[in-house]
Amino acid sequence: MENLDRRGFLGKAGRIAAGLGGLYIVSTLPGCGKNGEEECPVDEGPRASPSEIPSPDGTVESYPGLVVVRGSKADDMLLAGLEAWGGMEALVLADKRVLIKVNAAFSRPPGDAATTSPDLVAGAVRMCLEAGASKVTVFDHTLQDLADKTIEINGIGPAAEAAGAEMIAYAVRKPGKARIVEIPGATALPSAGVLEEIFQADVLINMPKAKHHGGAGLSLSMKNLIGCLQNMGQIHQIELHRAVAELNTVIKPALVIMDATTILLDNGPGGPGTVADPGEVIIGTDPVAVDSYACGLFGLTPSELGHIVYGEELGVGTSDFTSLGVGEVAT
Amino acid sequence: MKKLKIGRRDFIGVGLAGAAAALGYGLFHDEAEAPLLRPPGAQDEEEFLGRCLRCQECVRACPTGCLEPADRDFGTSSLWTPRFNPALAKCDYGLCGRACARACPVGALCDVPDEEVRLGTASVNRSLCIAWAEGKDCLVCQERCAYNAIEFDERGRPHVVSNRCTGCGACQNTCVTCPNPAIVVYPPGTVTSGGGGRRNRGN
Amino acid sequence: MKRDGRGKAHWIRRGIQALFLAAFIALAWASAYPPSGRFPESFFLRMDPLAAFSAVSASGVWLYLIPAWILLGLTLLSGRFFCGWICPLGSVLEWLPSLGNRRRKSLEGMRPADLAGRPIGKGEVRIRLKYVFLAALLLLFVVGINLLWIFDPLVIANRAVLFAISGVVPVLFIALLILAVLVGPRYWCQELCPLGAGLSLVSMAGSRLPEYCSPLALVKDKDACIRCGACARACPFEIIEVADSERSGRLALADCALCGECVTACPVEGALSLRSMGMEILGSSDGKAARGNPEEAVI
Repeated sequence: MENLDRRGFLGKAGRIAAGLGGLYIVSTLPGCGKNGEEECPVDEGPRASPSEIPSPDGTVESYPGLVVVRGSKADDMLLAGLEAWGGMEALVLADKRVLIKVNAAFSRPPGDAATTSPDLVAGAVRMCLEAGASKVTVFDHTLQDLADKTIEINGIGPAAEAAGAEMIAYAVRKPGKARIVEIPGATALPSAGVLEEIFQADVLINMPKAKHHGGAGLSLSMKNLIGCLQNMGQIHQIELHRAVAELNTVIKPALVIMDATTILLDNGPGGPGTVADPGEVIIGTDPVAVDSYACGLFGLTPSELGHIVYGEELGVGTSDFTSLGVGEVAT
Repeated sequence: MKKLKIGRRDFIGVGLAGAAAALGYGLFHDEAEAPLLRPPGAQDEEEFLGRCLRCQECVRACPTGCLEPADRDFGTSSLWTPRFNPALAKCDYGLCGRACARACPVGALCDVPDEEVRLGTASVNRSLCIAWAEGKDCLVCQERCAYNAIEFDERGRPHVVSNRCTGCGACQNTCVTCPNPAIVVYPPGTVTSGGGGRRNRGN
Repeated sequence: MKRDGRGKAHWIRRGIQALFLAAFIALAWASAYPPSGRFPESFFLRMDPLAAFSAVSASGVWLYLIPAWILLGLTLLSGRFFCGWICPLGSVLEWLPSLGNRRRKSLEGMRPADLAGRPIGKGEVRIRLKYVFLAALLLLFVVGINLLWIFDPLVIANRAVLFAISGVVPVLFIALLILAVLVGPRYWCQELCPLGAGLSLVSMAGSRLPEYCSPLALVKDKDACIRCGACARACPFEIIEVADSERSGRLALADCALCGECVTACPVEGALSLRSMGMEILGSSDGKAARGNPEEAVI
């Protein structure tokens, strides 16, 4: 290589020094990997009217009250309970798209009673398909980021797919598309982003898990519907109980099938905690009535739960379930 | 064989370059506001920095996307090293099979058993938390905590039980208060009081 | 760079470089979750002997870095073939059009008669900056400061791919590209790269090995050489010198990447060849230039 004189040496050393210094400066420019910051999630999507959300069309002939089924085998209980209620035909499922909103949020095995029983979910899917549904989707948000693993651990994913349903599990903070719905007369939740999947169905079925909830007291059927929101976090910044009730004025599933086969008595909603097994499945169309009955399983009265009181006030239903009638079935 | 001749001027050149880099570091180094958390399995910070190649394999391998290359606000010695940022996602180390440690080609991240993972400790900022400051019924941090490390007092206000907290960041990630979350994970050993639970025994 | 004068052998090498580059990018892409479990996605980084210094004292590291030991062993036998055939950074640098190539410029237009007997270059190996870098890196490493991430070519390339995927500007990589365009296609490789320096040292250790022990070797027959300087002009690393025309047998030049450009450029049959264990795999008669006027063998 050539011999370097003073100029060449300065040139070379200077080049290297300038290069390293320049590199450091360039790495400070934006676009060179500025670290992620907290963003405020906003509801995003086109406007929609509440009437676009599927709701029961009122021609369903069924038992107006609650049907409480006791037993041990999920399929038998569902069969007996739905028959007593009015049969799957009452839901008019022929060629309809069904969306079943379950509770699959936690990575707990089914025995921990933090999520809906996979056997029950599978049974419901099968019955919908037998009644002629064109498509059944089982749906929830998971609270672990690895949604696939969560639904595997709580068993709902494999059970739903084996029964013939499409399983959709959104990881929280990575929600999907939604439509913004105004809730008439609402003070706590005037508008909410409701996930697109809800609009893509013809019939909604709500399959919650009855369990203790650290913040809301209990998590029952009304509370289960917040998983339909694009931005679940917002509900907590306002008045939670009122917001849950207001949400239930626009999302009205055709049927509630509450899983109280095992229930979580404390440390909810995620557990682990004390599990009791009343062995019951509660079927009804009035979410306030179903929730009011379920309070009794935990030794609470409906008036102790804010969202049940508001729900009755807003006309979502009645807490006086005995007046509606409670049909008891044993298998 | 050719004769070797030492280039003394090259030593001077390298020295100058080193001086320029050090000068650049001194002039352009900012103090970062957020804490610098490391992926699970990163041992002692000095040893970690001594091994990490800043190759981004762990960042790429992470399934939740909770890792990112630290930017210059954390200093030159940490530049581009993997930073665990709960604002992006929680660390699901129990479910991912420790993807980051498996991806690391030089063992800067070790596959420690789940029970020993200690990413940091969460701490509640009582002036930002809507349960503390406004008496609202928020519960999302406790709802998402997989380790039962958050407890509510009789007024529905969250407390972190630090000996159960693993620092996974689920609480910080889900906290509805934004842009600055009301519950933040701090590096292990830095949280000693304030926001700790009734059974706080320190770290 | 004109296409004439580049034989089939050149494009085969480019093809192999492209394959390794594609594999490198594919592996980086495939590093996303879930891990395959069967093939290590960080294979190229495990091939890097410098990375071994970062990994030392990690448990199981010696087994883990087997690709690096294999590379070192082959380098001992052959030379810096990694740089000429495998290194993804080197491949990209070589493909860039370059404004600089001092050797070529200084030799341009010289007639063979002028070149005959004239030692171009001092015939001495000056310690290039890269050896200083390597020594400095290792010394700093011993006191606990790890700067490999700034200077290791495989780490720079890996980071560049992954930064590009996630939308961050890969500054160091771009700096090297600029360097190559402004100064010379493989200036980094010949003057600055510490991995190259390490491989050169290993290559020097094996320089006494005869050609039949070497899986890849550059062999010279000085009796056939006409001292036209075509080899010196063609070398992208600016390594081979006309003074080397005085040597015969295996040309174990410390920095030679065994790329074969000199062989392709050589107009005289038999003067230069690439051999594997003594068997010729590329001879200077394979190049198109062999059929032309030696003076037109300017690449």
